Amino acid sequence: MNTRRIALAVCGLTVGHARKARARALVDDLSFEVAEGEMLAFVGESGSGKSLTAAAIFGLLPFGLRRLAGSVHLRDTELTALSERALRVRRGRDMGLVFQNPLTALNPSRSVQAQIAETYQVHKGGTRGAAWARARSLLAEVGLASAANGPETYPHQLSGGMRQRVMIAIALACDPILLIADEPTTALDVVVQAQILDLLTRLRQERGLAVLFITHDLALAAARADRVLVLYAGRAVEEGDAARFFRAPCHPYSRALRDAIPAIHGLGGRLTEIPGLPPGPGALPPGCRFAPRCPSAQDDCHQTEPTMRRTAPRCACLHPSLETP
Amino acid sequence: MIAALTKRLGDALLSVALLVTLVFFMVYATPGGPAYSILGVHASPNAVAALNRQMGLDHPVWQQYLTWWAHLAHGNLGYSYTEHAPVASLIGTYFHNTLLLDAVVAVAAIGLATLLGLAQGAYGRRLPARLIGAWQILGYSLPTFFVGTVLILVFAADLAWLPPGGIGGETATAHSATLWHHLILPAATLSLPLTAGLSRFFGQQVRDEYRQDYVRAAAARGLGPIRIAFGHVLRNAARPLTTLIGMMVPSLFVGGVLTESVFNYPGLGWLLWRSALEQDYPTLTAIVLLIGILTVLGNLAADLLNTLLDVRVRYD
Repeated sequence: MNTRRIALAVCGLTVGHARKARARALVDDLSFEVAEGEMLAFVGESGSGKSLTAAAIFGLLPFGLRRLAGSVHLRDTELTALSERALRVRRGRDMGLVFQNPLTALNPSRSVQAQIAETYQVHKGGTRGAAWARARSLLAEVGLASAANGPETYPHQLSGGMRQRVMIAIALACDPILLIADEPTTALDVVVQAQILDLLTRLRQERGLAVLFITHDLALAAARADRVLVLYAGRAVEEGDAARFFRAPCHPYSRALRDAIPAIHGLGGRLTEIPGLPPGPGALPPGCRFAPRCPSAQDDCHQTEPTMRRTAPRCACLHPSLETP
Repeated sequence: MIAALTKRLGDALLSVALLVTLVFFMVYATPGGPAYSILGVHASPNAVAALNRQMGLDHPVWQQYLTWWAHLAHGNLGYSYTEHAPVASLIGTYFHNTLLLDAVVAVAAIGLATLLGLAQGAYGRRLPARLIGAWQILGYSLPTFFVGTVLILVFAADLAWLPPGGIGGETATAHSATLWHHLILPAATLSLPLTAGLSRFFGQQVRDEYRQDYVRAAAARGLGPIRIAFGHVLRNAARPLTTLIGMMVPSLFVGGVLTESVFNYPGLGWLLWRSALEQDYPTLTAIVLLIGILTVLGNLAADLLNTLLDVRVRYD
């Protein structure tokens, strides 16, 4: 796996408020890499900075937020050094984004064929006919035969799962290097969820697509991704091979997340929950961010902020669990 | 599609029928009556009774009502006692002038409101959007007679760039060379509040659209701001606007009454104002009917436009 080319390399990415210098960073010194054909799962609860990281990679942070530090390399291009105009050319061409809610992410008044064709034509030029042919072949590739061969189809005529397929087709229109799927299955039911994830898995194998899969569902991440990166309050707390991670998470937060997954067999009794809430936007505890909620926190956890271990298993904890699986 | 269209047309016809009935009974209920306005308030009861008999006003109400319908069906709108001409031919010229003015105003108001609304919505809460917002409040609340008078003072009296009023002759077509000069000031006056109101409503729609996921998705696939605004946001934001444009018809005419009287512009509004002063009932009722029918037509057009814009509305 290490021989594959690195598609996306994020280094020291920090996102915070543009005006309020003293407010805490919402994404704090985040570094990770995704290789071609690899799927990296971003796991974390709401507000941990998963989607902001995606927005920062695309250079589309919400009004009022700014990238304060860090670099984003897409293959050989430093995205943060590009002008807005140059970055716009990369969006949709070299990197695609699939949203959480496919019901709202498509323009309701234009046909799905037109929306795919537009994306293709904006980046690749060519005739309208060529762009439409491309749109139809993409629709066939994502498994929407009716829209691929039939008449113009509008979003309201499609189900949620079908619309998510359209979103994926749009993201793939220009053969991107990277696909970011931001909770692509959260709004879908379980059966459709599996279909969409099968599709993503197939596409990354066939096309060598690098996929950044953002989710709050640890079980999905473990089942589908090659590697997992756990975020807590804007910081990476653990990173590693999905299989190893799920067998033997080394950060207490990861362990707690794993133990909160309901088992499929039998009535295992009450699920373990994590007490308390993640830190709010203003107040960060001194020391480890997870210490106030950590079942195995010790005195030094409240004073010293842990750094990411350099050797596997990589996690940011002063007292990691290093049992070998 | 055909069935639904027929139903909408049927609704429109019903509205017109109700309007005709309402106008008839409003005039019928008016104290005084036409005989007094023709002969004067000091006319003798005998003379009034004779004139009423001559005009058929001594018949029972239902008979008068049916006669009114019969005349309308033949295109007979009555005879103006003050102008001594058939109302239908009298209204024609004025209607022509008003249509010309209103067409200019409608095109200017809709075009400007679209651009301003898009800009306002796209800028969200930033300074350009707030400046447009302040202008809208001002434009909407300044009264027509004030704006018209100021424009006349500045551009006609002081700068002498444009004529202060009139139309440069009897009819619009006869003096088309100078006609445009005469149109500029009244059109500007009449379109100011309309543009302000339309663009404010439209700006809110656009702002709501910009918060939608599909706009973020469009940006994420590399579309530029111009393409997003005109290719994606405009159409979705414009749908509720079509209804408003349909309702613009009456405000054009109501605004026209003030504007046309300030600029002495010989249009329907001006005629309405004068025939109200002179108690010219046939002209008055004809104009009210005409405005009502145009309003119904405007709403019908808005509905049809809406079905064209909204892909989800399909009449089967």
